[in-house]
Amino acid sequence: MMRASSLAGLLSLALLAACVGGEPTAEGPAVAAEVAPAALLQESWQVRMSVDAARARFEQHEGWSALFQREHPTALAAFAATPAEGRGLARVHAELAAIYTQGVGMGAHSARHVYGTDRMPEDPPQVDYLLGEAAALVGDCAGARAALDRLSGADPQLTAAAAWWRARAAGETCGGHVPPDAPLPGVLSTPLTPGVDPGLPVLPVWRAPDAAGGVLELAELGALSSLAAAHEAAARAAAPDDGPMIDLLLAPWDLPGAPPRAVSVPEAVDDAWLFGGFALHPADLGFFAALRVDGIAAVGAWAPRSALAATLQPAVVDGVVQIERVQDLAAGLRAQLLAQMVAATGGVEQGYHRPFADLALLSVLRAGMLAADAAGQYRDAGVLRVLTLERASGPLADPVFLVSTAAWDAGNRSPLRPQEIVHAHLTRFPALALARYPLDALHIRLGRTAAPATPLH
Amino acid sequence: MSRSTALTSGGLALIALLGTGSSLSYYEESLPTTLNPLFAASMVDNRSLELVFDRLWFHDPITNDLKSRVVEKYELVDQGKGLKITLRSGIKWHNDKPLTAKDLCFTVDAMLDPKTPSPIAEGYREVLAGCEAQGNQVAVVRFTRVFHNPRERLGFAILPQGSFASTAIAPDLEFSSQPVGTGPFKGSRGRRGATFDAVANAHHNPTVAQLRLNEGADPIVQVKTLINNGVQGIIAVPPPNRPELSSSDEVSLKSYDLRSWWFIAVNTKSGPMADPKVRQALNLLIDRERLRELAIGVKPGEQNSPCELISGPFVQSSPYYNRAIPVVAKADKAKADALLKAAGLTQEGGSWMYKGTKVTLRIGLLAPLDFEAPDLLDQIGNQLGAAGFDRRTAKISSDEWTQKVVTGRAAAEYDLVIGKWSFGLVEDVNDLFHTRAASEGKFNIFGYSNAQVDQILTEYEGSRTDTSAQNAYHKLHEVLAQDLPYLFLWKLDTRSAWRTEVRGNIIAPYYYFTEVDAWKYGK
Repeated sequence: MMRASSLAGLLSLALLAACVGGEPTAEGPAVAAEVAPAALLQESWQVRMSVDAARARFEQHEGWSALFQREHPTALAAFAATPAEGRGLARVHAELAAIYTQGVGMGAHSARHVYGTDRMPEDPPQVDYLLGEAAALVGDCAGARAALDRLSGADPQLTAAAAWWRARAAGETCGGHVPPDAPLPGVLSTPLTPGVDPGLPVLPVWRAPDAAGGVLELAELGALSSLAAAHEAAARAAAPDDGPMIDLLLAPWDLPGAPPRAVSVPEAVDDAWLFGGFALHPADLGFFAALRVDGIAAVGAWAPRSALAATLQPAVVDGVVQIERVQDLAAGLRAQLLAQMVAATGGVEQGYHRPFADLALLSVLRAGMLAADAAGQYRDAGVLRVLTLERASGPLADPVFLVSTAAWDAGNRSPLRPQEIVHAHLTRFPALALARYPLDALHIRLGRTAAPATPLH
Repeated sequence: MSRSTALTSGGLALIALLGTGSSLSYYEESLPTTLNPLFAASMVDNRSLELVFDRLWFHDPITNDLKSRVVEKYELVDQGKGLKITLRSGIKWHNDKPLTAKDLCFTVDAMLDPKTPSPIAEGYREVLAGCEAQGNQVAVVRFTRVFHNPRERLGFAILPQGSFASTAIAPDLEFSSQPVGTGPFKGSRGRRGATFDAVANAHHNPTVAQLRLNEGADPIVQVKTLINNGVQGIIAVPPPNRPELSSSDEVSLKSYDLRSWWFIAVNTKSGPMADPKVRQALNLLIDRERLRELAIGVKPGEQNSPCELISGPFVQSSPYYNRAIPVVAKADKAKADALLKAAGLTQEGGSWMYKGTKVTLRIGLLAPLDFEAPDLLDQIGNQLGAAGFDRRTAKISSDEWTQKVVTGRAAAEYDLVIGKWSFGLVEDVNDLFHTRAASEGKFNIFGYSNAQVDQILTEYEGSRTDTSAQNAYHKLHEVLAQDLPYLFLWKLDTRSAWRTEVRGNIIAPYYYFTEVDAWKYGK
C-alpha cells in the first residue's frame, strides 16, 4: 500500500513536470539577478526541497501529491488513512475552512447587492432576513440590525432565526463563523469526522412568495459558515499543537468583522505547513498577517525576515505599490529561485524546479496584491489579482484564492466570473452551491437592468 | 514639454505620425463585418469598436465601477425620467471636430429613428424616449420610464452627427469601414485587415501607436508567428495550441471572460427535419464527446475542460441553465434509428431515404470557427455520414453569416449550420427562437416557429420578478431540448495570448480593449 502511494506521488510530480516541459536538463538557467537576499531564499521550501531527502516525505504520500495538485477531496481521504500525517490532514481541513469562508463572503456580498443596493419593490419582505444575515457575516452589525428590524411577514421559524442574528448583531462586533448551536437550518451541530468533508447534504433555503406568484429561494448562509467553522475545528483537532500555524494560515481569509487572531510565527515550523503553498518560508505567513494589521509599513518591517517582503520592498515607493514593478520583481524572484534550486541540485535543472518557481512567482503577485490593498490601492490590488488569476491552472489554481476572487468580484457587483469559478469547483466543494443562490439572483437582476444587448456571433 | 501636451495643444494628432510609440499586430477570428456600432454583429466587431468609439458609460474591467470618459457630471431630472448630462470639454472626434451635446442627442435620435435598421437600436427604443441639447456640452436624455440605475442603461457608443446626412442610418454607408469616433484609435477596415492608429485626445492617451488586426489563419501558423514575434497577440487561442504557448516564457496566456456557446441550427422547414423526431434523431447521432476530442483536443474524462457540453441555450454556469436537462454526450444510434423510422424515413443500402429520395444534408459552418475547432465541419459531416446521411459541406464567411444566415435568408441553401453565440451579462436569447414577426425573432436563423416557445419568451419578456424570468428560461431550455431547433453543443472558454513585451494589457470581459490606453509595448 505504501509502495503504491509512493509511486502515485512520484508519478504525479513527474506528470506535473512533463506538463510544464520540465525534463531534467544539464543546463541551468542563466545567472539571475538577486531580487531577494539569497540567504532568505535558501530557507524557502522550494530550495530546501531541491534535496531529494527533504522532498521524499511529500513525494511518497498520495495526500501531498493530491494537495499539490489542489485535489482536496483526494488529499483529505489520503491523509485520513495515515494518522502520522496529522498536519497534512489539518492543512486540508484548514484550506477547506478558508474556501467555505470565502464562499460565505461571496454569498453575503451578492445578497447585500441584490437585496440592498439593487433592491426592487417586487422583492418579498423576507429578503430582509438574508440582508441582515449577510451584513452580520461580513461584520456590519448596524446594517444587520437595520435589515432585521425591518423584517416582516416571516413565519415562526424565520422569526426565530432572525432573533438569533439580531442578538448576535446587538453589539459592536458580529462577524466570524456561525457556531454549531445556532438555531439555523442546515447548521452543522456535531464535529466533523476527521478526513471527511460532509458538505451540506441538503442545501438549506428559505422560501418566500414573490410578487409574481412564484417562490423566491433564499440561501441560509449560516449553514455554510458553520461548515467552515467545523473544518477549522477539525484542523485544530488534527494538529492540536499547531494552533498558531492554523491561525497564520487562515488569517488572510477571514471575513471582515471576524474575531482577530493572535498571530505569531512559531520558531520551528514543519514543512507540512509550507509545501506547495504560497509562503516561501514561515516569515512570509507572518508578513501576510502583518499587512492586515500594520498596513503597508509591514513591507519594510518584515523585509529582513520575509523573502516576499524583501522582494516587494523596491516596488513600494513613498508608501505606494508600483504594480508594474511588482510584476518585474515576481519574474525576477522566479528566475533567482530557479537558479538557486538548480545550484542546489548540482547545476542540473529538475522537472519539479519550474513548477516550484512558478508558485513563487504567484506568491509575489499575491503578496503584492495584499500590499496594494494595505496601501489603499483597491484597483491596483485588483489588477494583481487578475494577473494571478490568469496563471491559475494546474497546481497554480489554488481554490482558496479562486473562491476569494469570486467573493471579491461579488463585492464589486460582478457575478459572471464568480459563477464560472463556483461552477468549476462544485464537484470538489459541492457546498459552495449554497452561495450560488444570491450570486445567481444578482446576475439575473443586473442582467435585467443592464443596457440592451444582442447576441453576437 | 510632455508628449501628450504636444499632441493635444495643436489639436488631434496621430501618435504614429510623430514616430513615437510602437505598433502591435494581432490575429483576430475574422475581419470585422462593420465598424459602425449600431450594426455590430460579431465579437470581432464588438472588440474593434471598443478601440474606435467611447461608450457613454462603461464598467471598469477590474473593479466593475460604472465610469464614463466623456461625461463630466450628471444629474437626474424629471422625477427620474431624465438624465442631464454635461460632457467633458475638449474632446474631439477623429476628424478634429469637437464632441458636443448635439452628437449625443443625434445618437439617441438615430437609435429612435425607425428607419435605422439596427437590432441594437431596437433594444434602446424600449429605454430611450428622446434627447435635447442644451448648449454645447449639456444634453438631457429622456427615458421611457423611471429606471433603477438609469446610467446602467446608457452603454451605447456615441456617433458624430457630422458624419451622417440624417438620423436614418444604414449599415452600408462608408462610415462602416471608415468610422469617425472619439475612442483611442482611429479605425480603418481594409480587405485583408484593419488598422487602428492611436489618437491622443483630452480623454485618451494611448501609448501604443498602432494596432493592426490580421484575419485569422491556421492556428499553427498563428502560434508560430506569435512565437517568432511576427505578431504580438492572438485573440482566441484554440485549446490544443494552448500548452505550447503556456510553456513559452515569451508569451502569456490571458483569460477573456465572455459566454460563448456553440450549436448546430436545424432548418425546421426543410424536408424531414420539419418533424421533431428527425431532429431528435440527429441530436442522438452527434457524438459530442468524440467531436470535442477530435476538434478541440479534450481528452476523455478530462476535468475542468475548457469545453463543456450543454443541453440548452445557456452555459452551464448560468442561472438560466436548466440543470435538470441532461446533455447528450455520446451517440445512441439505435434510438436514433428508431426515431427516424417512426418519422417515416427508410434505409436503403445504408442511406436514409425520405419520400423515396436520399436525404442529403447541406451543412454550413461559420468559417472562423474552423480556426478554433479545426475540422469540426468534417467531423460532424463524418458522423452524420456514418449514420446514413449524404451531406454537402461549406464554410460560410463572417460577412455572409451576418448578412444571410442570421437574417434568416439562408434557409434555401442549408439544412444545418454550425455557429456560436456570445453574450456578456445579458443572456437574452429571445431573438434566436421567437417566430420572426415585426421586431421579434431578429436572429432566428431558419424561421423556427413554435407557439409554446413564443409564449414562454413572452413570459420571460414580461416577467416582473427575477424568479419568474429564471423559471421562464428554465422552461424554454426544457422545451428547446425536446423540439431542437438547435442541436446544442458546448461552451468553449476563450483564452488570448500576448507576447510578454506587451505590458499593462488588461483584457476587459466581453469588450476586450476597454483599457487599451494603458497597454504598452516594449522591454
